[in-house]
Amino acid sequence: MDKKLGLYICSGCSISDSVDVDKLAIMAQAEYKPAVCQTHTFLCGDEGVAIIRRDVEREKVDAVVIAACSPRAKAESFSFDPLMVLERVNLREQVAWCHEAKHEDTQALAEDYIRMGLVKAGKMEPLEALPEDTISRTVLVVGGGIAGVSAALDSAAAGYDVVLVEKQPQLGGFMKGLKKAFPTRAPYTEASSDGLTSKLQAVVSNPRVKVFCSTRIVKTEGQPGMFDVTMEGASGTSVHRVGSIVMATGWQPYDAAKLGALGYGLPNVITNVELEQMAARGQITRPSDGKQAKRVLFLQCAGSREQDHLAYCSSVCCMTTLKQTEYIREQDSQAEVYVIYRDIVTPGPYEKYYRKVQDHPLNFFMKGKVTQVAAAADGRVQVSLDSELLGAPMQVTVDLVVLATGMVPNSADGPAIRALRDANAKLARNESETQCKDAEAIIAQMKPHEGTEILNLTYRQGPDLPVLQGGFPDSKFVCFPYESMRTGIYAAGAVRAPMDAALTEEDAGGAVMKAIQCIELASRGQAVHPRTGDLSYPSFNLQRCTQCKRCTEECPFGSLDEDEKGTPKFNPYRCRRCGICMGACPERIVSFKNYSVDMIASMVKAIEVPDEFEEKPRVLVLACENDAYPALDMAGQARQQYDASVRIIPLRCLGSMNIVWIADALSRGIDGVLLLGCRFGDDYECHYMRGSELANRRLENVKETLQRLQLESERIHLTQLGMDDYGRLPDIINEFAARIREIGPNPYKGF
Amino acid sequence: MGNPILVEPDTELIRDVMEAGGGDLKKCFQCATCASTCSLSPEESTFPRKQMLLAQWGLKNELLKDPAPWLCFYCGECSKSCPRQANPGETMMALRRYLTTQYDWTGLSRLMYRSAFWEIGILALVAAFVVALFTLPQSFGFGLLSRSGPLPLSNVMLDKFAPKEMVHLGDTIMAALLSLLLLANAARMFLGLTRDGNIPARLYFAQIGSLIVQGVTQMQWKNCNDSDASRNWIRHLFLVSGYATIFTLVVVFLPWFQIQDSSFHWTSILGYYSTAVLLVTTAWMVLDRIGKRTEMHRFSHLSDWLFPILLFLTAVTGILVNIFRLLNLPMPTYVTYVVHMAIAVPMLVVEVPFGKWSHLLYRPLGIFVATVKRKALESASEEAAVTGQALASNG
Amino acid sequence: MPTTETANGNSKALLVIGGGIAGLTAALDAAETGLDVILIEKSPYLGGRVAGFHNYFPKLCPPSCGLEINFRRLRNNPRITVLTLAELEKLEGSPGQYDAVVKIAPRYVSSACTLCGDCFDVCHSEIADPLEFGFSKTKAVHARRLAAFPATYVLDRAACATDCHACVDACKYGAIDLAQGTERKTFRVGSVIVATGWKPYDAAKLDNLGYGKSVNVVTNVMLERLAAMDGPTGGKLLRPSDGKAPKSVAFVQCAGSRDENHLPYCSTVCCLASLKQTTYVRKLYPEAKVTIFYIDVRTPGQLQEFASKVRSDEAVELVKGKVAKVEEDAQTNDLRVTVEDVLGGKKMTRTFELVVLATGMVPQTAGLPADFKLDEFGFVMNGPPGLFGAGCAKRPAEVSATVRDATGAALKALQIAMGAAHNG
Repeated sequence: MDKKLGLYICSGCSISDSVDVDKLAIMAQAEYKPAVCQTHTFLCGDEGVAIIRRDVEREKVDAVVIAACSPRAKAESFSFDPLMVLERVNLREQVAWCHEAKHEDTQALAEDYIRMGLVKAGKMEPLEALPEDTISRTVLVVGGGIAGVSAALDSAAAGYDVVLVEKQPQLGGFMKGLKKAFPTRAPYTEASSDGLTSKLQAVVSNPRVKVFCSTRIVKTEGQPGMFDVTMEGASGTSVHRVGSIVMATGWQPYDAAKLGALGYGLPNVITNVELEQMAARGQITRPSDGKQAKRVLFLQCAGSREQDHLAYCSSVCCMTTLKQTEYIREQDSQAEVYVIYRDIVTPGPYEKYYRKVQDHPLNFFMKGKVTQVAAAADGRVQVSLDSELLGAPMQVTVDLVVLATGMVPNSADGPAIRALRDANAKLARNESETQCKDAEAIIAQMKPHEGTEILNLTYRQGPDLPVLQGGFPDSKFVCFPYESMRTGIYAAGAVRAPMDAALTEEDAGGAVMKAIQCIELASRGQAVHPRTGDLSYPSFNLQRCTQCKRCTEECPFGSLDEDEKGTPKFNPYRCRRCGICMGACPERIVSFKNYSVDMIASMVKAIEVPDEFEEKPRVLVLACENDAYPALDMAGQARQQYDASVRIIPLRCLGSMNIVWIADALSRGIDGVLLLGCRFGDDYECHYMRGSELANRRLENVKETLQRLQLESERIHLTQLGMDDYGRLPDIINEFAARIREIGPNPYKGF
Repeated sequence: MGNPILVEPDTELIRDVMEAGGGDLKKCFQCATCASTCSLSPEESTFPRKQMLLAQWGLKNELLKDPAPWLCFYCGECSKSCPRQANPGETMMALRRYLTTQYDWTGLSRLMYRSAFWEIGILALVAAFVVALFTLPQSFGFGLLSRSGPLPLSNVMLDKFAPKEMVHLGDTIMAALLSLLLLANAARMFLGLTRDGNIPARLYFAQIGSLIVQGVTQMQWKNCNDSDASRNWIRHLFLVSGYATIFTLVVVFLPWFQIQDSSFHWTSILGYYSTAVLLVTTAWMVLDRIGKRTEMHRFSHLSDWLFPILLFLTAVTGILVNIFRLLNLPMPTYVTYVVHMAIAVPMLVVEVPFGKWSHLLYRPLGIFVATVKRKALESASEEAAVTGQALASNG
Repeated sequence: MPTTETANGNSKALLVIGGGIAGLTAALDAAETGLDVILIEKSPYLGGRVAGFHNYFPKLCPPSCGLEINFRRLRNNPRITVLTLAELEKLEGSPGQYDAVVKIAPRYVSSACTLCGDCFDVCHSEIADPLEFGFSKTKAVHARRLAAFPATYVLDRAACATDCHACVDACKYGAIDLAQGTERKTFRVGSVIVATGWKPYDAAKLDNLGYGKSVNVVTNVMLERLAAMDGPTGGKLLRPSDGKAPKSVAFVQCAGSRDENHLPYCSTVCCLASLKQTTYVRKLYPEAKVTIFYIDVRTPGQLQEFASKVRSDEAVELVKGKVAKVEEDAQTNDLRVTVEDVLGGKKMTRTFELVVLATGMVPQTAGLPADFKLDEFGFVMNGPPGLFGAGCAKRPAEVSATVRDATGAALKALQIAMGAAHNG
């Protein structure tokens, strides 16, 4: 359908000092004949906005192009029907404020931007909300420990039904086994009875919570708002429809068998977990002979903060040891307790507990490195250490050594499980003999990990929440700690990061909030973070699909499943609207109503390319709209000047970059293409995890294209940057432009 | 590094030190603010952080080897800046108290430091004995009075009341006795300090000088961080001078110093000087303690009170004797004389070898050994360096 | 506008005090789940402390990136009312139905402002930049340099020259109104979240550490500005006395924290902050050496791995020992730091060109209505239902913990609105 375009050019904020606004209008009318073409000195003011509104209502303008400030500015003024076609052309931050005023190049830049804006608006379609779906408002909570129970109660309290699954016969998890919990509330000096019992009663008696113990999840199908979870357990097999999932599967102690060097294996060397169980039963004694332990030595960081064990700090061991020190004290006021530490980690007000426990005359604290733990006469244990505080070797002979072992998350991913999964797949496909042999070897080796899957998602990209360093399915985002790579599934508690009970309870609350938020947004057909509230979504023109599987492989959120032929099956509620699938597709069959390969390609084609004799190169800049584009604005706000040969197009994510655009640009005689994306690698900053990295990988293929076209590969360059690099941006751009000038004009000009 | 320290915490030590003023010692978390603040703490062997730890852990042997407690003159800066309010300054003081009890082989010291009853009791006992010497009827060497006929009450005849030679003999015996006891304890201290250090004898001789100078002047004190340092030091110096003078007068020059009648003798001038000094300084010290003026005075152990108070009383009674004598009032002279003796003698025999006064020898000795040990380390490292170069040049 | 009450008659509105990362997060999460939110901030701009930071640990990514996303969420969300220069004056009523009286100081600049900067160019009166610790100057009419939200200037009337209206005349958009006065608005809300955050411990109380005596002794918060691209040294991290690049930098940990004479608690983030700031120095100046003086290195959880990475740099030295004294050399303006190297068993005095005090966090809870319960240190405790703390007003914490806490607080508000009795 043909649209009624309205172009509104603002001359305020020194735009008119920099470019000839009337000329712009004349150019636009001549070339694109928009139904309305208006200039105004203060477009964001009430009068300016009123004009636009009037045209939309009276003149039936259905595609508004506003050429003024950055789309990041004045959004509240230029807010119309969210479904309407609206395109913002950035004449202020990226033209007037960062290029030489009244210069022909600046004018040309503004003209191109207006062309690009009009072309895009012409191609855009009004958004359509997702077809009505019935969204389930039930939250599935996996794990019945302190995290899960808190999560269940929190969801119920907010008015959302809960299905709570626990693989053990009863709820309570690790906390249930504790004698006491260390103090987590003012005055932080007395260990408390855990406070779990009341919660357990509350959760079983809560009408909104359905509890399933001795139950496992065998299959999770579907997507947020409509997950179908098949569970198998004591009460048989059942299927539940839930809206979102909180994974609160907790932790397990680090395998002390690996701590032989610290004496584990000697009868009177135990872990803090074993001590806790002993204390809960009653007397703390020496396992060897049941005699009371008169001298006990705690060894901190047993397996934590060690590259060849757990690289991370388990966060709770110091407080736990302080608490257990008090167990021994209660039992025997004359007992001697030694604590050998590397650093005492009692953050915040927990410091008070350290101070209190330390104050007892018979508690001895020493920063030191243990050099040997050996058996001594009559079942005692001799610990040798370098006492770093005295700078001298020391020897203590004690009745009992307690290893403060750390936390290992109960997540169902990581190298071991992946290896096992792949090996099984190989056998299933029954590949070449050698392949199968290796597979069997791996399976034999990884046996212990068998059946440790938790969610058993039917996702093409694996059955569980992907994990990051340390095996935690944590978020990489400091500012968005609940963001997982599976929409609608949020980890909570010690499975996400090592933490104590108090923090776990809070963390559960946060995860539940996210789960509820996901349900609410889904029910409104809106995207979740980071494009929260976005109503657009991709559609797939499957007639032209070649089943190359690039989109299903590259989607960072596993939004796309495959049928047996490999045709993508789109799950809109898993989708984050980043457009990475659109960038991945060589057939260009993926498009949003307001963002498509064709739109960007047409914008590229709209750029006027002077012929080689004018010696005016053109550089296409494809910029990530989350970091690079704002950084470009900031450079403008700081009035930094840079080369006017650039033509900037914002992308939802650099991962949505389709190499076709580069081909189009070069074949149209554009001299260079600069890609600005987020930093990638282990500490990726891409809000879609892998966008900029994928773009970088696609460039490899582009290189071939270039060779075919006999063009220099330096004409294309990807720069990783963060928003705080705005100060460097002018240099980055100028240097690239200069290099392009050196290389000389693109031979394809004028074809 | 040497042999490992075998950890057998001496819980008695921990308790004693905590009772003797180190009550907050367990609060220390070894941040080392104290050692950094202390201007006396040597670079290589710092204090008081390490001593805090040794005391926390009840490592007695390590403490007996350690001269550091005697290097501290208690300016209290460490206690002021301690983030845990663990009071390192007072703990060092408590350690000195504790060590004093440990150096003493008779065990009396420990008895007196740990109970006021015993402290006062023993002083009283000695006092009673002194009084007895004068008052009891003549037998078993008692009854100095009636020795040479009836007591002259017309005018003062002190020699008749307390024959010089007798008193002098007594003084000498007393002096010998307390010196012996003190030296014996000092010897034990020395052995403890040097137990596992193979220190070349020459170094000891080389440092003798400093031992004496330190012993007399206690110069180190001047280097404390606090503003009062030099004031306290000078005050202490006067006190020592006064005390030394009077002690010599009594023990060596008594025949001239104790004047028979109401006449005047030049030795009195010295007497006047020392009594004056003693009066002023001790009174001043007591007032400081009452007013808790500085960190040093915030906590006062019984021994800290007795020390100046007894000295003060000795001075006062000494002056009274002199006044009554000059006014020619026989009876008051005799009585105050006995009282004077009954204070001075126990103070000396009890406080010097077993009490706080022992520091007049312990402190210089501590500083001495510390210096020697440091020198030993330095020369050792020098040698090491030399041999190192030698090896390098060979290799 | 949606209905303002839920089935049980509780208000569907939430008041969030504080527009820092905690307040923003709580407000956004609540609004995106369906609550109406009033977000008040006492300063002229949102963003709080983190807006002044250069990078976050452990990723060393810029806070502006997360703020950009959050501000975008904010712009797109009609459920949130943002009030700057606003403070809670009075709170009445009961959980579910509080009446909050908010006092709004005049900004003198309306939303018509386009940030074009004409007013700034003509303004005569210079003032010390309130965001730059006196490192640099700005003018009476000024705006946060980048990512300003709201995107308008603010006028510091007190700093204006008498009857000067240059800015009024210069503004083409009639955005400046000198007649503006203090406003009071009353809101009916179901619950209140206190996300007032923290302020650095007053380093002036640490006179032994040379703060105030030497300009080359700065706090960790000040260093963030020196390192920030939009800061006073354009991100070059130059030392204040002579604007020279520091070749040796000392970080003094627990400057006020874990100290019975100052803050008895541990401020939790300072160790990581210093390790992070170490990377600033090392990245800018490969020749520079960094020494961190500490009591314990507290890097819980996976942050330990970040710490290990920084510590593996041979130009970075960690010395166990609390600094007791920092003195300036009158000639060079370098700083002599006295400390016992506990592990080395030696006392030493070392010279550095710049000293950074890792000062701790003090909760900004003074002046809250009495309804809120504070602990002995001034942190907000779980008060009556409907009044919640979030972030560093509640406990010293790093950013991501603060954000998690804020999201959790938003849930509590949702529960009040939904009226179900919450247990535990």
